[in-house]
Amino acid sequence: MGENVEAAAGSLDFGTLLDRHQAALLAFLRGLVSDAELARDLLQDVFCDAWRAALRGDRPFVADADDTDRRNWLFHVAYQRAISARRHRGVLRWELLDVGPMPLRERLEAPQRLEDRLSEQDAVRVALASLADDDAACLLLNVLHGFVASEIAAILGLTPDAAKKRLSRAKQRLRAAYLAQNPKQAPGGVFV
Amino acid sequence: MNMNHSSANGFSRRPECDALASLLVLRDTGMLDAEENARVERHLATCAACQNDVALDTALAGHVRAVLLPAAHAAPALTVREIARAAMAEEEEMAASDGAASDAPEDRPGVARRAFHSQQSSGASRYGGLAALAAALAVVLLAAYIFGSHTGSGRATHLGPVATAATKSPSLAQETVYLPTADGIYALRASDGAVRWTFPAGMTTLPINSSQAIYGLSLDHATLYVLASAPGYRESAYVQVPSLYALSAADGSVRWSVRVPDPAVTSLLQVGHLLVVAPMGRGAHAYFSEDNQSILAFDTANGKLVWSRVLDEPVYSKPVADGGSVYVGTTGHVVALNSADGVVRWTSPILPSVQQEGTNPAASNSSVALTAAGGRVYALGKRAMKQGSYASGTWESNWEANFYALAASDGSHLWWESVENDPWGTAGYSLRPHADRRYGVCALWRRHRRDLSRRR
Repeated sequence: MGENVEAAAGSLDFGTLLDRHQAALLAFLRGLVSDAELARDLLQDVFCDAWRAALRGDRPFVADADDTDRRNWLFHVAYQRAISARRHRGVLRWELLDVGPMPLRERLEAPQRLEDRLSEQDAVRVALASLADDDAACLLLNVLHGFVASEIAAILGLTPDAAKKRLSRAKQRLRAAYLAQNPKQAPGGVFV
Repeated sequence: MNMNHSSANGFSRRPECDALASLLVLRDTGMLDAEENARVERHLATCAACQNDVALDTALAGHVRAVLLPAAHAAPALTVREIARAAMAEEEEMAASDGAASDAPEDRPGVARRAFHSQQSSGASRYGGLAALAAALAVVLLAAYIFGSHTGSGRATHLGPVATAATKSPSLAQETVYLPTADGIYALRASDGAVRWTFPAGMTTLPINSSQAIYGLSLDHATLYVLASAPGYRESAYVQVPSLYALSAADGSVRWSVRVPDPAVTSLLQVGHLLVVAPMGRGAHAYFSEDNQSILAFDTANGKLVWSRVLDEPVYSKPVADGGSVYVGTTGHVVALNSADGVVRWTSPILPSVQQEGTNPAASNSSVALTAAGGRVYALGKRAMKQGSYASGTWESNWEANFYALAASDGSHLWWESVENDPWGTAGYSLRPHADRRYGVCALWRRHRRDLSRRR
């Protein structure tokens, strides 16, 4: 199969596509589904979709297509898969057994610093998870990757004005959701 | 008129603050035009409250990046080859599943399909095999549920009307499905559901109100071991009397059978040449407290008792085996026994003991699920916790459920995590390792069922 794989990938530099976009897509998916393992599964699914599209010769996975279109396609599919996963979330929960969340001894020996850090991460994740699908996607595309309204609109199928309004709403709601968990403490020592 | 008002943080806010709130959050996004930007900056220059909000938003965005980006970059990278393999495996899986009765695809955890966590060489064939198994089971179970479908000369008789459901999951091997039901075992040909043999012999239909129970099956080459129970008397009490049977897988004839001297056993585990039987706390005989604490091992060759061990607490889990040990979960511990002689190697505390303050002694729905793999024992235990008292009329209960990783060598705790509180009280937990043994799943079956019913 190996030769076929290389041959099939030949018409499009799929390796470059992977290298260029997978970390950004994974961060985006992690933010949307709040589950690292599920995000990695979804990432693979996204690239499997891209692989099949490339084999069929579908745009934008053709030689003369713009890489921006490919990037938008990937983020769009990632978003669709993530919101589908969010709807089915809670049926099964997979736990990493090898590493474990934290060795008990380490947890007990350095509770303060570690707990603070974990608590902070949890607070951010909980705040993100409280956002509506569209709002979370707009926020992550902007905060993580710096996409502007027109780019977000192209990925999510919105108008630029709608993307801008949703981003504004998402940031306000993220702040409110974060502070609702711990009204006495803000990130970065900002007074609340 | 003073239009200022104070926010909770003590900063004085003006009506203009609220009017500009939707623009202020976009300050660093590059989405404001020149005019909007100028308005925001003019306001910020004189408003401490909004300066604080902007600083908070900036810090929060930094935290989002700090949480998500490093983790994404640290994750193992996908390769072209892995993507191609995964895509092909999915296509083969979908092709093999066409026409077979299968449940919703989302029931299959996505992690099971991930190429870079599975054994690379076995991915496609493994899923093809699973699909074939599902198809065979669907055929057989469909045949079993069809009324009196005699199919003509030269073929074995199919089952008549099925009055009671299968009591345990069917086993499939050597093109035969072994279907335990409320009154016996049916060995069915996988290809068309024809009855090869039954145990007891001669069953063609399933009677209603049978009191017999099949607790466990274990198939080993040409022998099917069965832990079954039928009503009987023990010390003048009417109880279930369990027995072990060794049946010929070819024709169902009995090679040996023994009466198990403990009415509470409800689970069967084959460990090499031993058949280990154990009670479970929620079994039919939970009220015989002394009967819920015995583990027994029988020889597969002749059914002779090899060893028995009485534990200090009632057993709350099915036994599991790994690396020469048998593990069981009790009401407060995981216990490791030598599989060869039943000697207790170690006990490790998990749930609060039933003797401990605040726990519910009845605890009829407490449970422990175990799995052992890779030098570790994973235990998922839950217990009802009593609060208040009946006498005072303030009795309430909630649930403590924890997930533990124990070292198989000495039972020491490697880590533990609390599991979300069980909102349904009596929901059952299950725990099983993923094929590559890096993951486990714990599922609330009631939630699972609810979700399935919602989708239908």
